[in-house]
Amino acid sequence: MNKADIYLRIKTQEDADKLIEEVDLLVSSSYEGKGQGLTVTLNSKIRAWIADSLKNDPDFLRDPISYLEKLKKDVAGFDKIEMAISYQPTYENIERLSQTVKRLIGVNTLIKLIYDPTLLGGAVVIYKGNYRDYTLRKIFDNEFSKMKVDLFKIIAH
Amino acid sequence: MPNQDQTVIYILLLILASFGVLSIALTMAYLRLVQRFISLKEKKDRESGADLIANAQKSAEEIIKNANLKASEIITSAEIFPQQESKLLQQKIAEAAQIYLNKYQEGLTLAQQESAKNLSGISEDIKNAVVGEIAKFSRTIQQETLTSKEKIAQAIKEAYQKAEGDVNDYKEIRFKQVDEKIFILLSEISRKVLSKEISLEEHEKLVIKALEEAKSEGILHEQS
Repeated sequence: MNKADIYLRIKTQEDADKLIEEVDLLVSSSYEGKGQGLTVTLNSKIRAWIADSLKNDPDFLRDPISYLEKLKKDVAGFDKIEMAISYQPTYENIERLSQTVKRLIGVNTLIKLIYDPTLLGGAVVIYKGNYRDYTLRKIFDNEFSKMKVDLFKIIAH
Repeated sequence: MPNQDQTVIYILLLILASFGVLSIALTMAYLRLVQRFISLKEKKDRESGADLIANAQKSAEEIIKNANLKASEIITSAEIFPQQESKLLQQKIAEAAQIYLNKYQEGLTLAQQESAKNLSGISEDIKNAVVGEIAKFSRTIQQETLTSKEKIAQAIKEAYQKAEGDVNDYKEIRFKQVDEKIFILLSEISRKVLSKEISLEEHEKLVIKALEEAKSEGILHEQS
């Protein structure tokens, strides 16, 4: 595994925040225990898949501090796409949504999910200042407005 | 020489004394003359006033005397005025009085007739004027009544229209509110039914479809 694998597994803003937190911990620990602090922290306080990825990356092994700082800088600079959705997603749902986003935009993209049940279905997408409503609520409201007159007639009778 | 001087002085003194005596004598003579003149003048004045009074008295006496004579003549002639003439005179006076009375009566009757005529004319005029005024008043009242009636009718009509408009507005608002509530209710029911009908997989498909639509619309673009 290498840096790209880590980026691929960082799907949401929460994932990115957690990774940055672990990176900060590793950097700060590198100055402790006469150089052994980093190893100790890597083995005991960092998630396994990240630790494994780092241990197997020659770049990290060669210059861990520079690697971590670069990693932190890259993750902090990821693009973010906000999506308001009407259901509580499972981990698998998030996984598939992230894959789709990374496929459509790029690997260095994070998704931020907002739960709003009134949307009925679909999503509101906000990306780099652009906003689009692709929800069922919008479709429903549009269709319902068109049907409004007919509905009133039905109600009146 | 001194004797001569004294003589001259004596002579002079004598002359002066003479002149003094003469002056006094002349003054006294003058004063007496003036006094006499004054007294004479007063006397003359008194004499002239007495003459006038006397003349006036004389004239008056003469007038009175003539008057007495005339009066006597009149009294005499009156006494000799015949008794018959006196009766005739009385009769004439009575006739004249009767004629005057008759004329007065005629005049009075004529005046009454004229007055009555005038009064009747005045009554007729008043009647005509009153009838005219009443007719005019009646027309005015009719016109005013008509105008008022029209105004009232117009006011009622406007008030009715306004009330009707208000009622319609209110009805419209209320209907709209009811419609909105019904619409909201229907919408909520529909939403709940719809949300329950959509499965998790379908939700995910809808979100992925939204992302792909955004990509196709150029909202999402690939990183360089």
